Amino acid sequence: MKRNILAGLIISLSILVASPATGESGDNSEYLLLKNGNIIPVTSDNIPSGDILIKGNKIIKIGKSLTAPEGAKIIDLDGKYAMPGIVDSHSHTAIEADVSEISVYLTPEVHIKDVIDDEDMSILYALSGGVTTIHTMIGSSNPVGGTNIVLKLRWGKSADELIFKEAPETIKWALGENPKQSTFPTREDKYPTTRMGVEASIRALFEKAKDYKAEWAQYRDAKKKGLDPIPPRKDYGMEVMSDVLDGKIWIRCHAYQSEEMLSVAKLCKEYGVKLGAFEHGPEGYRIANELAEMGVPVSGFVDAWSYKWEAYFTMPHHLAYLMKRGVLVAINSDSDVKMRRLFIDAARLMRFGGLTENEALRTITINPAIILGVEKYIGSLETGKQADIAIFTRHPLDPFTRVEMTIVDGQVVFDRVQYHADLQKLADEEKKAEESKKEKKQENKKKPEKPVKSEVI
Amino acid sequence: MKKLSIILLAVFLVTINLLPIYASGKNEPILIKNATIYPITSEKITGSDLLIENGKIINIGKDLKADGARIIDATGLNLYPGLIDGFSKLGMVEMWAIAATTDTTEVGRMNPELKTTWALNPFSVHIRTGRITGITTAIVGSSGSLFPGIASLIKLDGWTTDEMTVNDEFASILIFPVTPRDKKPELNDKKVQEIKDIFKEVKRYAELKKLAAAGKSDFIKTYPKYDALIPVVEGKRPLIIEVSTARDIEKAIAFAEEMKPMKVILYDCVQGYRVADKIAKSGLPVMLADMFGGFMSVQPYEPDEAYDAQWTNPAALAKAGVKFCFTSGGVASAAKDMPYFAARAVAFGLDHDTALKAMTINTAEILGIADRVGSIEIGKDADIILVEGDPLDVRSVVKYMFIDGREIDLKDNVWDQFYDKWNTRPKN
Repeated sequence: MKRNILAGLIISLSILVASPATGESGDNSEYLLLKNGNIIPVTSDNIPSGDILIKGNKIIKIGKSLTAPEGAKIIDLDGKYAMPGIVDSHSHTAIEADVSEISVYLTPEVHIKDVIDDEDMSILYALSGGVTTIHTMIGSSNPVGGTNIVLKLRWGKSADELIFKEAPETIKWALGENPKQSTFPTREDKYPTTRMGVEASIRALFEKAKDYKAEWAQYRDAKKKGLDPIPPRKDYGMEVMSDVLDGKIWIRCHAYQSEEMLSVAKLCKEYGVKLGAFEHGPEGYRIANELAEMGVPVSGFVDAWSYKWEAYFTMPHHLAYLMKRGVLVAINSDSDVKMRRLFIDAARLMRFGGLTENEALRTITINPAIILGVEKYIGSLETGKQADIAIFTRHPLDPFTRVEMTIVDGQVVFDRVQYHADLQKLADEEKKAEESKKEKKQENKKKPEKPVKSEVI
Repeated sequence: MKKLSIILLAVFLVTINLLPIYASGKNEPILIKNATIYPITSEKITGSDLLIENGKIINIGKDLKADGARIIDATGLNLYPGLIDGFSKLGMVEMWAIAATTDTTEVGRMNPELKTTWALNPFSVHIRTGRITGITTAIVGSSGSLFPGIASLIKLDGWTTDEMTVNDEFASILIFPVTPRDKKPELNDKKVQEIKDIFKEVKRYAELKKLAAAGKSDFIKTYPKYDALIPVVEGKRPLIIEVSTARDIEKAIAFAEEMKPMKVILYDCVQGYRVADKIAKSGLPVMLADMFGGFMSVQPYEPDEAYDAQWTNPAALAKAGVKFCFTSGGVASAAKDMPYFAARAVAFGLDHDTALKAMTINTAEILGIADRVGSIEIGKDADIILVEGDPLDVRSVVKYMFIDGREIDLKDNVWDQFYDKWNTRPKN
């Protein structure tokens, strides 16, 4: 209940801060000018003391001494740092509790978009860490787990409105300890329990999907010829897998061991499907040359390690190492809590692997945007891109920085000062309500007690 | 059976193949030249030298000379005392998913006699990766419920557990009963009373033992669990009380008051900011736990807390006058992150000096070891780090480390070994 009150309050106030973007002609309230900031566009040179002009949900100009039309909203950044909203390419945020369908091992028919929780406070907390777009994924219990969803954190909007509609669809795969149930045992008799079984199950599913496609092609062919064939039975999982075979759905494959990654990358090549990225891939550095050649990206952690056997043979340098060998890399959180400090993880890559500031920032902005296939819309501050901006007190890679404000689609959805004011107001109101409750109770006590009649119902 | 053999193989590989060959430096006189020294207990000194002999700091000043000493040019480097991790699991766990490598938690609630040194692995990979950000001293404690055991104080260098250990009976641990959010606090009083009763029994047991020893009473059977708690009731060994919420902290304060002369240190206190004045008034010191949280942790701790409560907590405690320090908390594989917890606290209002003290001298004072570690002073242990930059900055690199005057090979860790090896693979 409290969660809802707080959510509602913050939503209402954020709307007050940033007026609605649907201005009529002549009304310039859809313009927002961010002035006097240190602008870090990521894909181009930094602009010290620059401005960003936003119209509606888009950036329309970046530069020095910009002017806004009369009636535009102006926010003075006062030397603060503005960078593109952070993109988290692997999370399980903003969903109802169940993340994996563990009853069976191949579940392409399962969709995470069916369980989006638009009131999840983790959305607000993600915004408090400058994150504006997330890839919310199925868990890793099954070799083929189901389809994922890309969400734009338009806090306060409905589940459907959170969906990043321009993003290509993705499907979660998983290899290694999780699907073979060695770390999280589900059922003793559940297949697979070996890495061989994992790969065999994926291969079998591909063959099944090929047959399914052929069956439907045959049926359509016959119909075209004017025959009256019996349609094949519809299979929702196979519908998804058909789209995977057609390259419409990108595979996002949870994997830790390098050799396993390599064999699955080869498998994907064999079936001509799009392998969007390996997830985590802490051993990916061992096949950096091969991944670079095949053009397969890695979305991973920086220095989470040694929590299980397959997470042991890694190093915090692994993403930087991959990047230097030509692999597209992004840092992901896989966690509501870690998501809020991805910028610290990015800074670690300067220490571990010697990335430059710009290279480090790419791993949490434009690179994950490319991996998600949405780099045309987000991931950098550029004219024409969607206005998703994180405002930091200091340079985002400075150890003492923090997020002060987050803008999504040109709307201020997180403002630290406002947030604390709202929270205080809420606490005060609650205290007042409690006190008046107590007073009433005491008053009631003072009144002479009436004899209570027992009622028989 | 198959799984067991895999695990055994894993353990075999870990112990035989992967662990870095241990190499501790010689104990020679070392003269560090031209460093910027941050003594912590006094103002910083630029362009200063520091002389180490027999494991101690024996001189600090400009243009020092020492015949036969090894010279280290520290131009451009900042010199700090080694950092102290007030509560860790270093050496107790390699991989939590593999039970064979995990020794943090025993079965049962009443285990006050368990010593962490019995399980401590001096060759743990995490001791080596934990060192790279500057940690030289750590408390190692077990986890569990009620009385999980006795924490030890170790230096992160030594060929054997004994060589690492400064004190293997350093502090006892008590996990304070948790009052569920939706329950009335009184519900937990029973559980607190249970602890009080245990200590009452321990006192009685101690008295009877004394009488028996003096021949004034019958023979008393030895009860190791109570023996382990006698120094605690007598105030000779500190009791670390793990407690998190404001409502429980208040109870722990009252408990400590009643148990005097018991020496109590509060651990975690994630909601300390809500009762900061009360903690300050009690005079109890606080050791803060992990501030990043693993995958499973929930932040904020409770739904009506601010998103940044955990990060503003240290500043609030400092403002109220509470003596506190940082620790790495429960994650051995992320012990190196402790300085970055301090950096978050600075980003959310704590002053930089206090943050640094809360990893050095304040920690030493809280633990009662300030005569040996926690600052750069003549006569103290030569636990020293030379840093390129600020130790609170994730981008900084600790270039040199000395523990008891011995140089530590900071490259002696699996990460650097993997990195160096794979950098030799030809590129495409």
